[in-house]
Amino acid sequence: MRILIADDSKTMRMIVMRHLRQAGYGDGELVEANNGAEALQLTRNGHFDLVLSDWNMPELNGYEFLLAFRGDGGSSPFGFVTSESTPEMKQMALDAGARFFITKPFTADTISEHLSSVLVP
Amino acid sequence: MTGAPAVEIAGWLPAVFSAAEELATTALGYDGASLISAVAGMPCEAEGALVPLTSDRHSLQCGLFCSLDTCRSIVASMLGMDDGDELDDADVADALGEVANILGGGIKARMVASDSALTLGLPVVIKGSIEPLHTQAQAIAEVLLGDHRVWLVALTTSATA
Repeated sequence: MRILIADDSKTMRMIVMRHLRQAGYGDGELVEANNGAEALQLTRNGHFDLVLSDWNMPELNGYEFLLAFRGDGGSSPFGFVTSESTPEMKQMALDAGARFFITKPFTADTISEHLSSVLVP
Repeated sequence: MTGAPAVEIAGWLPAVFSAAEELATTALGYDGASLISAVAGMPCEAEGALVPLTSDRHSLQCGLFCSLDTCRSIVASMLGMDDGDELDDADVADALGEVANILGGGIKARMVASDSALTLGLPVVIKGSIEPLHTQAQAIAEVLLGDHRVWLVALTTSATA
């Protein structure tokens, strides 16, 4: 299982990876991207079973990344893990093909709850 | 642009404190947060981060500051590390930016009824004191996050500046 984690904060990538391990997804390959552009390139170079992305990132934000990923034909489950959360943003994300929207701060239980609907550990 | 008046500095503070309380209990694993007092300034050796929340009606900078030792403890809590684990300065700075980012997101969520157009910007990490301009209003609250003394900062800029 390969999981892509796109966030411009190394700290947040570390936190997401720790929670993924706690939730039982630690045996897979966890790949990090610093921004949306880097994440998009990684999805063009290989398959991921799940993509987790921040919204607010430099170069290509998470929403633009999602649109480009789906535009490329990417069909893997895509979820946002982000500080910003409004009903409009959630709707935009869902309309563009996101499967879930996790708002920071969050716990391992939150990650587990959302991922259980799209992935088996 | 709407005709609604801009939220004054005092109007942001309940959202700032509530977002910090959520940060403490959820991201840091602390028991909670308690307000010590409003203060005029911070020690000049404080370290922290500010993040902008802006719209056509508002220009707010908000963030969290503390002593360097407290910063390291908070970051260690956030990362699930022990206090004795090694953290380099770049990791601490990155984590402080993320703390401000989470705080800003929490404030935005709590203030969306007052201004649905607020946009969260990218954080900036600061070492030292903040000197507001004459066009800016500043509020600082000394707060305990768990057992850690921190300063929550809100800085607004007048729309006519």
